[in-house]
Amino acid sequence: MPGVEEQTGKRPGVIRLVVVALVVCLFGALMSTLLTRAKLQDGLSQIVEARVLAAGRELARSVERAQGLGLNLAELDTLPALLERHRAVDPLIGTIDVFDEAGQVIASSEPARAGAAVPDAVRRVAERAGETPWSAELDGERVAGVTLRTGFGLVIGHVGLRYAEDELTRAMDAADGRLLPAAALYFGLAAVISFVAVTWLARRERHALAGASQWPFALACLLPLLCAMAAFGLVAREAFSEQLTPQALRKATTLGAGVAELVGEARQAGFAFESLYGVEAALSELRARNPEVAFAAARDAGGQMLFSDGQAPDDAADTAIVPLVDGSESYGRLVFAIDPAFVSDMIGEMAIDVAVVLVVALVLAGELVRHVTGTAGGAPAAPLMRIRAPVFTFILAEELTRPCLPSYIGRLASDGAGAVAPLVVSLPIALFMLIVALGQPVLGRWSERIGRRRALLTGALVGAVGFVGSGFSQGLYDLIAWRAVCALGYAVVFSAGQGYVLEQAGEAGRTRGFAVFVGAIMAATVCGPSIGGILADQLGQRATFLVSALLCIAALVPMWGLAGRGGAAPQVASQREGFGGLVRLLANRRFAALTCFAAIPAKVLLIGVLFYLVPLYVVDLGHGQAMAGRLIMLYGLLMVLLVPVAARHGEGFARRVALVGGGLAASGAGGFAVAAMPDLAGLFALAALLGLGQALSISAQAALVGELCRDEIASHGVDAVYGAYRMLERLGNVAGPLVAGVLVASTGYAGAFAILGGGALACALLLRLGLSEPAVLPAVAGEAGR
Amino acid sequence: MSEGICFGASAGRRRFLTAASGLALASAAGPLLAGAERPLRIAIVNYRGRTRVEDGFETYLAARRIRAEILWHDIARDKQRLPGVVEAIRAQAPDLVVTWGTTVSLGVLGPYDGVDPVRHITDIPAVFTLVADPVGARLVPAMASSGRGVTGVTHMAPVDAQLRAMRAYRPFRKLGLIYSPNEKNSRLVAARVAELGRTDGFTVAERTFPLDADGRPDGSGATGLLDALKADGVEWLYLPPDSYLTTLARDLLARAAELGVPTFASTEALVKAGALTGVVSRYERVGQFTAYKAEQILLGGRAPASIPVETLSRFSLQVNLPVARRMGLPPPLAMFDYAELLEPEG
Repeated sequence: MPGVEEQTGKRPGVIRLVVVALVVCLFGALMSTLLTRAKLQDGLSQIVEARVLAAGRELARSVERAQGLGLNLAELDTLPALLERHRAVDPLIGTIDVFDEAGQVIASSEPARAGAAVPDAVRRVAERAGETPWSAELDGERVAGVTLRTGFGLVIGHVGLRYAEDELTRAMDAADGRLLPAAALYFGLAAVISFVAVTWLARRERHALAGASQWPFALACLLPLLCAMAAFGLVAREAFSEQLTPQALRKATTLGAGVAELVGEARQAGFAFESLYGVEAALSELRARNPEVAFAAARDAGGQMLFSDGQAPDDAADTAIVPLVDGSESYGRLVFAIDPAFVSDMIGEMAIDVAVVLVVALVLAGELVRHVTGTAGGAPAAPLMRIRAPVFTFILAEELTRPCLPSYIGRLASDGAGAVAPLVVSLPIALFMLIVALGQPVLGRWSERIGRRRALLTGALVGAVGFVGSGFSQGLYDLIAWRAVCALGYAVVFSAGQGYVLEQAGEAGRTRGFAVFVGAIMAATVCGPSIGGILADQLGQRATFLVSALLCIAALVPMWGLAGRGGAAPQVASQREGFGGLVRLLANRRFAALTCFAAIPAKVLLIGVLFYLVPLYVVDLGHGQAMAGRLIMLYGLLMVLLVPVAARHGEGFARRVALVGGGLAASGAGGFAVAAMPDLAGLFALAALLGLGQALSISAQAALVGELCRDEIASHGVDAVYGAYRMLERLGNVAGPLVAGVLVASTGYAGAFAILGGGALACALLLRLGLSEPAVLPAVAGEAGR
Repeated sequence: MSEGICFGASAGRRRFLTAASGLALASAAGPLLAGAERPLRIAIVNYRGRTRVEDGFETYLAARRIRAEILWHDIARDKQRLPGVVEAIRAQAPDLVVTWGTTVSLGVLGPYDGVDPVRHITDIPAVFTLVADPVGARLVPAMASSGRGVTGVTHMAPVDAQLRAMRAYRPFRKLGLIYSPNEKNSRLVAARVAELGRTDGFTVAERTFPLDADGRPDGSGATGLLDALKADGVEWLYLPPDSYLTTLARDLLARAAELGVPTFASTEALVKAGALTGVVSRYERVGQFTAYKAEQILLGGRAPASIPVETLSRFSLQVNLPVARRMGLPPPLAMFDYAELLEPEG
């Protein structure tokens, strides 16, 4: 970007604002398209898999029946013919194999395959599936299957149906033909309108661009994007309808053929069609398992409706018709109507994701516009504001991985073989926190020596390397090593960024300086996890780490443009107190009470619950990582909104103590909420209460340190005291995942949440006791006693 | 390996075989016996000739490529022949004995609390099969373990599974039951049905055959009992695995069809006698399961006492089509998917 500035000379701000508008628009376009395609692909593959499995179950029943009659699987000489007959039912199915537990093919619709071995991955998936049907992906082909059992429940083998993804690919190509041009058109239009609007706004405020209000600019970026997303949603609805409806009809036809076969058997057994029993029940069960079928009916040859289930559709509904024939005689038909709302429902399911993307786009636009207006030539404190963009981008990289990191660790540690000890999963997270905690003081001094800018650049590069390594890790140990590299990069950027702020803001402006720094981190906390969760679900966990690495590289650009050497003399040097100072501080019993009963528990809760337990629990409940991302985002949003409010109302000792205690209690209540409420309701309550609790206490807690440690600050300096306080807090970060890991291993999720919640409530009480003993300062004691 | 086999000293040979099969399992990663090895010798004692249980037994062994020589014995419904069979088995000294049905099993193996080493086989591992209630018959003290060198397979489906199938066929609120009060097995089943009625919310009306002076049941008024149940408003008649009831089944079931009361059988014999439907064990499956237990003992090296006595986990739902047609009670459509439709000739 410095290059752009030089070329355009006089109006750097306008160009940068236009770039911002385009970046936001591009982000919206990419995320919308990604989400839409993923949803469509998901819907299509589910329908197709259901079709294949319907054939598989039919086959398994025939085989099990034959086996129960005393014919054994290997010697069932009709088996290949049976397989071939079932294969021919649906052109989608490539080959059908029956393989034993060792993975050896006993029989196949392609006789040459008999005796071959199925791939290990397929055998493992089948082995783990138990009673439920299974599916696996295999270079370009998919395999779905069911397990075969004897009459006494022993597994005798598996049926595996390979089916080509051709049909899926064709449908996706057709959908892309509609979606991609529409995306290009609408998001292109949005970009042009944003461009015009931003240019116009910038021209109007030309003389006062520096420090101008960022909101008109942010809106100029967002409103066209919002309209484009809405228009794109309509196109997506049509594309979904075009691709999904025929697939749903084909699936209904396959399911209907199964019902027709039963009706045929019943007639063969001597029962008249109209006298059959339990037809409605069978149709109803079919509908329950396939919610897209809104109506199912059986009619006789004259068209008279004999049996039906569901609301009769209007004429416009798409219907599948399965004729009922006996030889050449047609005696009726089955009719299935597809729910026209099922496509809309799918689009609706995307609404939450789209809303998340919009919130993130809002924060992103605000952040970027603030960067441009704040750092424009002539803006007050422009050099200070320049730190915001690189810190935001770099922290965003780490935040992206929050919702997927725990399950990624679990996956690598287990190597595809069952569950892994929860404590193992917590180790890399704790190690990361430990390196950041111990590294910061040391790295702060180091960055002071070599220059903050150089340190930041180095940190971002180290981070990028760490993320690439994490993304390509093959096992637990290399992941731990690469996460340590990430932690090193994080600690460098964090401490060098803080140092930069101090240098640029000077002693007088340090509060404002830190507000800039914390603001960037909070914005990243809102954006990162939610987008990271979506990316992890749609692109995969490894790809998410690579996106993080790209963000680290991207952070290098604004870092490059930072001022080389700061103005004001750095004051951080006095942090060199070490552990001696820490011990002296803890002798102040009220300070000890504050750290042990408030600061450390708060961090244990935050890291242990939000960054460790929640992502694991959400995946355990069967929700995607995007859900974990949303929960962490809710916490971040509440922090952003409530921290300033709490800070405004947090004057005076008693009120601060109340805020800290109340915050802890709120966080604790969050733990109980999960234990008491099932599924997502409890988790959302937890994220909200954690956000509320942390927001209430965070400012008051820091202010209390100053009040409780006046003597120590007078003798050792404010940095020494706060440095020690932060160090203790960070030890809470380290303990968080370990404590949560031990709890979840010994009592399960509900127990872990409840115990952590109870612990927080107990700490809130102890804090109250610890801080209410007679104080050194009469004024303070008087206030606390009130 | 074969030079190690010492014919005659049966205990020593069994130890050797156990060790050898352990080796085979470890090295070949499967229950395959090396081709050169001597086939296992299994004595099977039947009650009324060969049945489909033995078909299933042999199929299982063949599928697992277990070479076995079967030594057949049959008492042809005559208990008097049991001592002779025991004698013959002692002379053959097989690796395993399989006994068919309660009478044969008790005759060959003895009740657990009354084993007589002279009359019963005690030094050869045994698997009994097709014994409806091994605890009631005192073959074993508990299903978990016989406490001796015996394990086995029973063939009755759990009562709650049977009632579920009945409810799937046609729902009911009142269930009728007829049984002989002198048969312990029937009393147990009737108690279980009553217990399920309390939890699942249906009422049970039961009639028992009167007992004569010698304590034997008297079935002369059987159809009268049925008429009384019909008058009580029962919607189903449930037939427990009652031996005496089975002897009267044909007439009783014909009368039930006339009265329009659907009948549910707990054994295959009762379905064959004309019950509308029933959940039963297929004899082939019972045989396969018996062979699986035999494999666990002979090749898996497990002590019979450590193998629980079990029933199948899957059963056949049989529907007697002529009865269903005559009564105008077709099975629910979904049942055609898994039911075994019977169309007895004639």
